[in-house]
Amino acid sequence: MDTRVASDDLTPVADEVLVRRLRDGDEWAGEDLAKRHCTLLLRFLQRLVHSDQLAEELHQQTWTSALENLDKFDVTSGGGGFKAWLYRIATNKAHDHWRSRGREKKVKEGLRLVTEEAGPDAAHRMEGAEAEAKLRAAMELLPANQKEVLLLRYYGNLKFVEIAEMLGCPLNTALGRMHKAMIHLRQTLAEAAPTESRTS
Amino acid sequence: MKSYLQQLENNEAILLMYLANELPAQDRAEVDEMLASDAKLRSELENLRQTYELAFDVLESLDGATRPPIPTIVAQNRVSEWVSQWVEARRQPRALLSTSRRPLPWWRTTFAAAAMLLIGSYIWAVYHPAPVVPQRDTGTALTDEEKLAVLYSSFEDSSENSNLHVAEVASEAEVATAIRGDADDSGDSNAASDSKSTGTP
Repeated sequence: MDTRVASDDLTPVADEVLVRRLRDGDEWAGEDLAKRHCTLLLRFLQRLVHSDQLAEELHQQTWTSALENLDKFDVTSGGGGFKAWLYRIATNKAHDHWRSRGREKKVKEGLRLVTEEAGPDAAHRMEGAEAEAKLRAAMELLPANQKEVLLLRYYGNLKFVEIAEMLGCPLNTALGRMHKAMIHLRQTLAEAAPTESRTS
Repeated sequence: MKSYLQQLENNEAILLMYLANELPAQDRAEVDEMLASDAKLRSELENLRQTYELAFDVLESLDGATRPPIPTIVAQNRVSEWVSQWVEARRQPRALLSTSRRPLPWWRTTFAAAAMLLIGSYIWAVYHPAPVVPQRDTGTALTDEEKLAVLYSSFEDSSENSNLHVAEVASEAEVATAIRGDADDSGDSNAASDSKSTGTP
């Protein structure tokens, strides 16, 4: 198995220990948690919602909500611990957003931005990076439920059991979504390859 | 550790769990045995591994090619700031709570209760209309004429004071009883006075 996962978790102290310290008023513990998780969480949201601005907004909502509900987090419970809990909040925030705005509309907007490269966030991106555009398009064409599992696995480094629990679906469903997401990505990239070769 | 092999529906699910190293040791050993004896399954596993790597390659490439929505250091600083605000806000309500929920000293409660009782008694004593009971000298035996004189005088008094309704009613009853006593002229005066004193007809 590819053991690559996006990770910036280098310190040995467990998240749950830091959560306990933070509850006791230790700000440094909170900063440690932020250093460990905020970058990947931001990336996760960026990939999930296809919008830098929205990702930033949801990132803030996620941390605010996590802090507000920190006393409810059971440090002794299993199920992935603090990280899984944090990603669950982030996923729920994205779902809330889709529900409030109309998910279909957002997906269409996202696709339009990808194809036209006209988004406000596109200025700093590599211009003319056709490969990147194709990769992004391939990611964004994934159905949301499949993409969630893939992103939670990659950015959250969560176990499939934890992902299933987080999304409230059976383990078989989570694994099925992951499998479909991978197949879907491969097919999309394979379809894009002949076009690339024709144009070059 | 519970076995997943019975739960997992198909080969893809089993192989994904195998690749992710999430199968219990016993299940993993069982899959190893199956792989050793099944070339098709091995091919399936290899195919899945490549697909899995491709998916992660895509994400890695995207992360390499695109910047995060905000620079990492900015994101971390922002979260740290929210944490600071949260810690600060958490300290303040606790401080308020500790003063507002401090229990009162026992003597304050006792004093307050005693004061309330005194005030209540005073108000009751001042504003409660006391029933006026006709005064009677029980020390000496009265003659029938004296009794009538006392009763009539009390009747007149009570008539003058229309507010004393209770006394009025009592006087009327006593007059009636006395008159009946005269008419009968049978005189256990003690029994009559007893019945009057208790107020029973």
